[in-house]
Parts: sequence; structure tokens; C-alpha cells
Amino acid sequence: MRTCDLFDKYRDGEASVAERNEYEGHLAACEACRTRFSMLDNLVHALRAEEIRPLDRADRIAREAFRRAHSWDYEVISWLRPGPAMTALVLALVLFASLWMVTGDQQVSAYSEYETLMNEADTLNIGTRLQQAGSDNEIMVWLEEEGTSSD
Amino acid sequence: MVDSADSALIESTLNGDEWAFAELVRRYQAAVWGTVHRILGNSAENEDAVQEVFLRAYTALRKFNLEMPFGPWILRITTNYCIDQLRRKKGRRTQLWSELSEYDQQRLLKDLSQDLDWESTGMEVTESYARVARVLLDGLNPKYRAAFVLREIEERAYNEVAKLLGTSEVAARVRVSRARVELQKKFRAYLSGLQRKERK
Repeated sequence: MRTCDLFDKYRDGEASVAERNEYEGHLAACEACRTRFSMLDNLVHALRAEEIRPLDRADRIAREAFRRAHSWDYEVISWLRPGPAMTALVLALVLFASLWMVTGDQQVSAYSEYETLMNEADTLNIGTRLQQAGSDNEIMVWLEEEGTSSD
Repeated sequence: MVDSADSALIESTLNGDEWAFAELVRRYQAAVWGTVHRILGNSAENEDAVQEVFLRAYTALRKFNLEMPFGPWILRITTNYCIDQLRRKKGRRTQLWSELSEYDQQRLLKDLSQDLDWESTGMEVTESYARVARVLLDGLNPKYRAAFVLREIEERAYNEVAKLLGTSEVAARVRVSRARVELQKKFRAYLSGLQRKERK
């Protein structure tokens, strides 16, 4: 590590005694570090010295807060504001779920319809029974039987 | 530490007592005002910024954990708001380099690069130094700027800076360090520009 890299540690008062001695020796020789240090010290000093005159606006702020709290548009905004990303996510999920339900339903119904037809065909064993039937009369008898058994 | 008086004021506010909220604002408005001023600079818009911070706090008050101190919470809202403002309004510059007088540009910049005797420096000159400091701060990334102000100007510990910025201590240290490097780069750039001008 270069001695110049000890700058932050030294400035934050976190350098060990050995590091502090090393850096202080380095400061005497390194103009860049010296300028950097002085510049920051001066900037910080000047900014800390700025006079800040806070105004007492407590009553006005409280009045405004309560006024807004009773307006419907603020209710909506305040609901949205804490997490626009969260709101967007929820909306996206709702949209995705509705799309999935619409397209998913179609897939399910098409598939289940096919399944039902296959099951019915298996139950009735239509193909086999038709091949086994010798005449139209036999078929009619069988269909009548199926009709009464399903009733 | 939790201030029981703060908790009582918050509870009363939530029960619809406007006076209680005004009292809560009165307790913390100076701190909020200070942070707004230090991060955003001295501007006529600071009054609106302070109001907006408290309005946001009021909106989120139901979510506030009464077992936690109110001060860091309101200052975190303040810091977030200021960073947000700096991002949105890149034009919100309190001071431009070109707006500084010739005197400020030539003398102050040179002065700032050496050890100054602040005790013998008058208020007017100090204000001029602050103007140069604002020019340099205005050019920083908002996150670095906020971290720098909290650490260097407000002298907060890194763990506190991290909490106010809603980040890790390591990230807070990195931001402060980068802010220092950026400030030095800008300072050097202005100084060398000035020297080039003088040579001509």
C-alpha cells in the first residue's frame, strides 16, 4: 500500500500510531497530499461556518399535513408513494395472473374435454363393441341397454 | 434512545391531534433544516423542502416504530428527499463557477489549497470560501455529496451515516472516500484552469 492511500484512514482518525507517524512524515514530503488535506479542511471549515437560519413553520406544516390527509387524491398518492416499485410489481403480478388464467383456462378446458371424450370412449368401449356386433339390430339393443344403464 | 415525549406526540398525531404534530415538527425542524441546507445548499426552495420532508413523515407515521427514536428516522427521510431532489433537479445548483467574481476565482482557490488562519479570517471572506465549496459540492454525485456532508460537515460516525443513507457502513465509507477524491479532482481542474489563464 502506498503511503498516499492512508489518506482516508488518517483523516478519519482510524490510523494506528505507526500509520499516523508514517503518514505525517509523508505529508511533509508529498505536496499533493498536503494540498488535498488543506483543501478539504478549508472547505469543511467554510461550510460548517455557514449560518443557517431555520424558520419556524411548524404550525403551517401541521395544518398542511392535516388538510392533505383529508383529500382523496392525497390518500391515493400516499398509498402509491412508499413503494412505486412495489405497486408496479403488484400490478404486474395481477396482470400476469389474469393473463395466465385466461390462456391457462383454455388449455385446461381443451385438454380436459379430450380426456373426457377418451374416458367415455373407454367406458362405452364403442370401437370393440361395434366390431363385435353382428347386425344393426344388435347395435340397437346394445345402445338401448347403454341408455337405460346410464339413466 | 426513545424519547417518550416524542412517542406521545406521535400517538396523539395519529389520533388526529394537529397541535401534537406541530409540536413534533417544532422539535425537529432545526435539524431537518440544517441537513437540507448542508446537502442542497442555501436556496429559497429549502423552506418547501423542509415542509415536504415533514409531510412525507406524516404520511408514513403509521409505519413508524414507536420503540425507535424519531430523530434518525426523520433525518433519514430528509437525506433521501435531498438525494432525490439532487437527482431530479440537476439544475438545482446553488452556485456556478462562472457566477463567482474574478476575485473569488483567483484568490480564494489559491487560498484554499494552503493552510488558512481561520481565526483572522472575516465572515465575508469565509462566506466567499463557502461559495467556492458549494461550486465544488454541486458537481458531486448526489449520493457522494450526501455522504460527504453527513460525515465531514455534520461529523457523524460512519455507522450513523450508513443508517441515514440506508446502506452498509462499507458503502458509506466508499462514498465519502470517492467524494473526497472527486472534490480534489475538481479543485485541481479549476486551479490548473486558473493557472493557464494567468500564463496567457
